[in-house]
Amino acid sequence: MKITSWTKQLFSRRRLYDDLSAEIQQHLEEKIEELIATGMSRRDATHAARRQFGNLTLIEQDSRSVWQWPTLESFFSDIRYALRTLRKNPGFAAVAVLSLGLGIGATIAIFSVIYVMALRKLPVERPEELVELDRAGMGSNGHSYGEWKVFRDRQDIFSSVMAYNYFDARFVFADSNGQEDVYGAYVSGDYFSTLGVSAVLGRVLQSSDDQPGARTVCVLSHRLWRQRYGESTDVLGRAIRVNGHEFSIVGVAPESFFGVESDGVLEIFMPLEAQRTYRDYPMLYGHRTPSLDNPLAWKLSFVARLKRGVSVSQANAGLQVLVPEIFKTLPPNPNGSRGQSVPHGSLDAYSMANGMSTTWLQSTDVMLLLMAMAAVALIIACANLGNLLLARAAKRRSEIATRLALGATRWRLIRQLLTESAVLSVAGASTGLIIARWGSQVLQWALSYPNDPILMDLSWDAKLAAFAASITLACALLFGLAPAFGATQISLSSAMNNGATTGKPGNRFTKSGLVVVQVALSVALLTSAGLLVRTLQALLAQDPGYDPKGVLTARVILPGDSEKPERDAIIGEELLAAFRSLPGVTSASWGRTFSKTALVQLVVSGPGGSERRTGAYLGFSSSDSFRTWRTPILTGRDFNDTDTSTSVPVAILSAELARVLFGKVNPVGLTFRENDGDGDGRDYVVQVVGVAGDIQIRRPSDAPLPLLRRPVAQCGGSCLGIGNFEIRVAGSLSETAKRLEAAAATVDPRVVLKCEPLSNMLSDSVHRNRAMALVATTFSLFVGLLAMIGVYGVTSHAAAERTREIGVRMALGANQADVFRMLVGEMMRVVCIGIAFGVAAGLAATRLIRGSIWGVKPTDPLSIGFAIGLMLLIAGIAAFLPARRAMRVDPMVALRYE
Amino acid sequence: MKKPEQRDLFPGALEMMILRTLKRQPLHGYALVQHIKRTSNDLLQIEEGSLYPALQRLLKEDLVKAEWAISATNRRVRIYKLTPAGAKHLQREVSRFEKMLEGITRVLAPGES
Repeated sequence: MKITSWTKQLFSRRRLYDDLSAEIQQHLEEKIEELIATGMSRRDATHAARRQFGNLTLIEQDSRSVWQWPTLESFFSDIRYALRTLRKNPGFAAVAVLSLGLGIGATIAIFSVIYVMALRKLPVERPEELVELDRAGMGSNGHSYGEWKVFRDRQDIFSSVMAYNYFDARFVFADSNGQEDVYGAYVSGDYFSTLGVSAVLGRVLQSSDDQPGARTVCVLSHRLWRQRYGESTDVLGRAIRVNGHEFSIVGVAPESFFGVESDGVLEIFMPLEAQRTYRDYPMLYGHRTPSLDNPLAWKLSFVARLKRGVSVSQANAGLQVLVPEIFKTLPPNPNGSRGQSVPHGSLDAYSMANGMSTTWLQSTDVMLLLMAMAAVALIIACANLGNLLLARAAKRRSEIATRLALGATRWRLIRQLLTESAVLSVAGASTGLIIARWGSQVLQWALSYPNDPILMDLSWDAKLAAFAASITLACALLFGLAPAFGATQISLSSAMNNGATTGKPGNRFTKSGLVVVQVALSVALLTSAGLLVRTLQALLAQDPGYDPKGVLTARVILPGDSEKPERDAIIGEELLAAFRSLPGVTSASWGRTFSKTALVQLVVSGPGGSERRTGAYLGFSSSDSFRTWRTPILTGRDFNDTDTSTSVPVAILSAELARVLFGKVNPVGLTFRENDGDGDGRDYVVQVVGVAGDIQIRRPSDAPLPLLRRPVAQCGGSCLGIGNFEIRVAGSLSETAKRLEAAAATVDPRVVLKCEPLSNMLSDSVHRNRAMALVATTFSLFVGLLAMIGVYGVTSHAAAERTREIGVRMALGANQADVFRMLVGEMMRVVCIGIAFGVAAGLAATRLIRGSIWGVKPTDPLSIGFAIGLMLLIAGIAAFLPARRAMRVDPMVALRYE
Repeated sequence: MKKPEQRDLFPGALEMMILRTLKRQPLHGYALVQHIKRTSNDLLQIEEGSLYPALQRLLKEDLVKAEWAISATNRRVRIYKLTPAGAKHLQREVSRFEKMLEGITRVLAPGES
């Protein structure tokens, strides 16, 4: 057919239909008149004409359908009809959309995080050829720069290799428009060429950029380029500062490229050698070795591209032979902090087409468990909805029967009921998408460690969209099919004669089973959530040994100047003086917080040449730090102005360290020897001047850690590259923070200051527990809501099916209370079975979260009691509403249907 | 509801009869039905209404065209006319039908084989 006539038809269809109706009307009238002319009455003639004409509706419908794109048009009218029906039942629609939305949302949120971490292909050339190279048998992927250089120069197994610093990833990015925290990496010159990633603007980093003394240049992520510079092309050559060091921009990476770690988002790429130029790492005790050349700084990840046609196992076989040979040319590693030398070892290659993710490796079990729970919850949500729709379809039996009798085909009705499910699914999915977006952020937050937040590129691609679409479709089919086929399987006469029917008992058994499963699942989850919340409470109730209220911490990044490290200490003192003089500041101190990873070795000489060794966590502080933290000095004194770089080295021990080193003896005035472990073999003799109360620097659940404090003045200048101030404030923290920033700028405009309340440190320390409690609580409440819907659906279905029975009972003398007791009682029996299973399952489930429970027994009666109580309440409300409706049945009305 | 035995003799038969009738003279729907019933001596039990879907199909294929007019009995009726394409189509269909009929007759004819 010609396009023109087709479009003409499309637009003139209304007229076509009108013509048709008029024509048929004319036909009938002519027939009637003719029959009357033969002597029939008008009434008989009308009947006869109709009879001979056939099914008027069907014929008109058939005639019209000639012009239609029939499925599409009836589809639209079905959608309109579905929307109208749902608008008439807003309660039902809300429950359906919300429960579906939560189910779909949770499923997609969890899946998208798993997808991003573990399933999405890296946006690089032929990602399946990429392998990561781990230190064989060490469970670590860190390598030193020395190892990198010899490996790069002498390997012939791969077509290309690259390295990047995975360890130090957070930077302060600053330009004339201000500063922000970004993730980034120092990368080798062959980073981009190995990955096969080219710049969208300018150029990527090259080997010539990664040379000692080369101009310091960097490549930005597309996102940073857009956010900070609005994709302007004149960023090329622009100077920016990273941690205070100057870099000039030479290019912009492609839009989807954020590095090779799937749980990270790198925004800036700088050459490894730039670290040597800037000596970016703080050093302890005046070690002036740039950390790039520290053989124990295992901060590099190696990534290699397989040669064409070489498999991972072939590459591994090659590595086993080659790498020990190559590493033999390196000097042996010096002694580590644990006292033994670590061999260079060999390398193992692992495929990394989907990127690397430590987060995924650490959370695989939890994520898969969550995924399974979400899937079960979604299936339950669908089953519940199917049930509700079935109960509604039962009410619509006469409507459906009437339409069947009027000539609608069964398929037509099924399609219509399916459209209703589809409309619900789409509405649920839209809600779900919003929930998923939010949920994936929450998951990302929950998987993060504080101070080292995980940032994933959670943007959607075609595969994720396809997953979401198929989930939605599967839901529509899952909860839509049964009611659609069930409701249209109607024997016309019986359906039109009786409104109320009795349900099949087998059916009711399945539904009770559904309720038992849902209730059990909710109770088990609620119990776990309760335990996690109680753990969090117990942790927060622990005394951390300091009073974080009213204290600000200010992280200071001093633009390290390798020429004059002493300058840093002077700036620190100047800042401290400036802060102390501010109004609203009651006390202030500065220093370097305890290193949480490296222990220093302390040695105490006992009588008769015996030695006692122990490790301690080392921090530096100025005077007044104990007053600011409100940590008591148990004996001895605080640091003061007499402790200088030239005076006797002194220290304040935590109570725990004092106990370990000196037992019950008062250690003030005694000495010990200290070795910083970084391998120069020099010992310092240090005198104890005080003992302070224990404080928690990691988690409140930890046993007290041995802490060693030394005065800032004695840490040798350059150790303070990044320092911390603590300021006790009377009044508003945020206003004081602003004043601090202003004061810092007057001392040195290059100083970067990051203020936050000290209480964040405490709350960060329970981050994992809070995240788990939150996720578990949300999830269990969601499943509880599902159980509520389930109980409601089953009870109201039972009540509707048994209207006649209830009528008979009431006619025989049962009163409303009896009916109510009967319906609610039956449901609550089922619920109690579910609760019993749930408590058992909950106790079993505590094994899974045992590691996350602290300060509360797994059989905590409060948590279990709360779960049971809440479930009874939920189920009670859900059963109460339909039962109340049923008990108001007028026996006469109910029986009239007989 | 649809009952299968009430359908056309074979697909396209009704359309063919309509086209043949309209070839003789333009008619409106009611007259068309009466004519087909009469000329078939009421042997073909067709529902009067079943004409209309068939007419719509023919309209859509441009084999007939329709316009509103006033009939002899002073009614506003929709008169259907054969188009040239319709005439050609009819010719083709009739010859196809005759071939088919010939085939069927041969098979059904007794004693010859």
